[in-house]
Amino acid sequence: MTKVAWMLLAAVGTAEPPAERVIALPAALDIVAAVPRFRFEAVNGVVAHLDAASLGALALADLVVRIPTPPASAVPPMGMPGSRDEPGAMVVDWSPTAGRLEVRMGTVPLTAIALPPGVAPRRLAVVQQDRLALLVFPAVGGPGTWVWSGGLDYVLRLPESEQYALCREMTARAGDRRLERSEVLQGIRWDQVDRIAPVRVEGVSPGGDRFVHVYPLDPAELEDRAVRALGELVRTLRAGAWPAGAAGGR
Amino acid sequence: MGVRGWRVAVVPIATLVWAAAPEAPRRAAAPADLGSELVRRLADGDVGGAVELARAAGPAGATVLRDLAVSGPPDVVPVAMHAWNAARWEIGPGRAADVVPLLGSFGAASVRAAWDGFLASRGPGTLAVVARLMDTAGFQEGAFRVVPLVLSAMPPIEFASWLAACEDPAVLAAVRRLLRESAERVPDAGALARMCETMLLLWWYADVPSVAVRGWAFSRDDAFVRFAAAAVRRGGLEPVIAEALRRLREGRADRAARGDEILFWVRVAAAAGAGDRIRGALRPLDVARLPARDAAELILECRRLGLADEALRLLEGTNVPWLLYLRSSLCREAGDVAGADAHLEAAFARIGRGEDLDQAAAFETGEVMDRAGDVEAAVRVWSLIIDRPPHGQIQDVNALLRLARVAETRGDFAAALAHSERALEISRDLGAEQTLIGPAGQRGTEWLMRAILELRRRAGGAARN
Repeated sequence: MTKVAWMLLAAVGTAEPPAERVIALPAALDIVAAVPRFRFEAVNGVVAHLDAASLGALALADLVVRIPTPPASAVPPMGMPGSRDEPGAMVVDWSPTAGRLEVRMGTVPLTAIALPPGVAPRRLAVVQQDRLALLVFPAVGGPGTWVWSGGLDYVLRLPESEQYALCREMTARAGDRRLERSEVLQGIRWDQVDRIAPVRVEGVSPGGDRFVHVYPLDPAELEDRAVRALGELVRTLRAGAWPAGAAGGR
Repeated sequence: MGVRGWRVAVVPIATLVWAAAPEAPRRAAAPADLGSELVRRLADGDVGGAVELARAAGPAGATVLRDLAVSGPPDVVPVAMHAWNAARWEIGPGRAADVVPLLGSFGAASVRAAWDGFLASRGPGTLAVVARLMDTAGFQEGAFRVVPLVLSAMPPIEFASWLAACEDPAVLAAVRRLLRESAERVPDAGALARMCETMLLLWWYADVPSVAVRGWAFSRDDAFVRFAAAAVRRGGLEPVIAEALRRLREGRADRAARGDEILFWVRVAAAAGAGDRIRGALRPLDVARLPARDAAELILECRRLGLADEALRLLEGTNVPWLLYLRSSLCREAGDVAGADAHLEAAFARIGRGEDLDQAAAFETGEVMDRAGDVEAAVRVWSLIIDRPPHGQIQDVNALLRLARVAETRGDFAAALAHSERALEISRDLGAEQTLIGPAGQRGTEWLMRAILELRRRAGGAARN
């Protein structure tokens, strides 16, 4: 339908709203540190833009784990660097006999993470929401000492977003959040990956037709992809290789 | 003015100004201090006033405004650029009529500068001018020739932006037709890629696949597969894939072109997530007609798409040795070891018997195996080629050189030397119609003699060690 025809129909109130088109292609995800200087491409469509500190933490780590946040629960803070059992902060215990990590605050257990058989995470990278941290554990197990922590952001790039370059009257939302045009075209920044919500883009195509596109994004899948990408990077760095698709700053 | 009223005679560029002058609207004389006045207005943020002043000054105003946008005072450049981009097609010196003589002598070095000037002044609107010339008798071919030049003058987003903002449906239709018809005549993958990008930006999805398949035919560049796949996905054009394959089956495309296009559509289906559209769209005969390399790629694509059963169906009843080999690989992957061995032996038997299978076809089978990383099978084929009559052919030399390469890779320099010396012996007796060519076009026998000397040195070193 041409633009003029649609406007005429809209004016007399008989225009049908355009049908929603669901675009279920995988979205690309960027993990972005505070001052990104090094770029790594994982095979699963995730690109990590790291600074020296976060790259250093991942290079030292034996393993990356994600600490899940239960829905609607308060997120306990990570400990200060050098602390291991700080009151009011998260504590991560490694139990070599049980082969798992136990996360608690004080004496209150929060969650437990099973480790792959035979894995002894003496140096552990922990991802929780917008934080990346490095913990070290004594060989006999017990609470880990917080060595470093830093922030991460996530930039979600909609698949085939270049098709919107010449669209008009465009509005977009991700859940309750209203998105700018530049976000739709270049990427949507999120401070926490588990807050990513399905995106809905509406507008008028270059040919004058109204459209509604819906991207049913799954935050759990994206979070899993992000952690897998960091895990892949850790394994590559541990093997002494500079990852393929990597680019470094000064 | 309608295009039928234009002067279409080819005239020297020097007379162009004179020819256009009587039709040009009366313009105000450019003030001597035009540049400084434009700078003052732009610095004050008075873009409208600056454009008005430039317009009143005619071509001189356009030139001064463009120079300010490119190399004006730093604080004025951004505003000047904005003003120039907004107004250059209104105030530029080129008018539609000016392009006619240029188009008539397109390609001549003498008009190149004038063309550049016209493009600079008309910007993306040049495409619309050229599109309208398509209706002018005698200029249609020229219009097609000029399209690559115009498209290479600026990024596709500029053309697409201009067209998206154009409110005249006749202009849009003319440009769309120009791009579509040019695609059938422009033998330039770069221009075809720019057409695809422009069409995708404008959501002209239905036009993209046919342009992309032309680009693929010239370049075999995967970018064209991505263009077509994007158009198929965004435009919901999945049925186009099966339809294109059906037309290929029934069409008059030659063997090489058919192979190219079949591969293109299979890859598009894979990239667009529409692999199921291939199921049933091809016949065993279509695969049997493909060159060995294309057939192998097609079967590989089917495997990647999870259509191994469809690939097996396409290879049913074949007695072409490379297809028998591909069928054997599929059976082995599916766990049918007996079937795999039987098909592989059938391929070797077909090559060993000779009969109606020429040496080149036998050699191709070895190449398919080698590319698949199955060196053992390839070595067996190359050995069969050497053993079977007719002897002393160029394919015997090729097979011996392949065997020498494998032996060298395995560190068996003595065997590599023996194969190479025998290849040299045969190549010296080849008839005039068969010539051995070395890497990078070197004379084959000379290159081979140097390779033999190197192998003798290495074989001697290996023997001493």
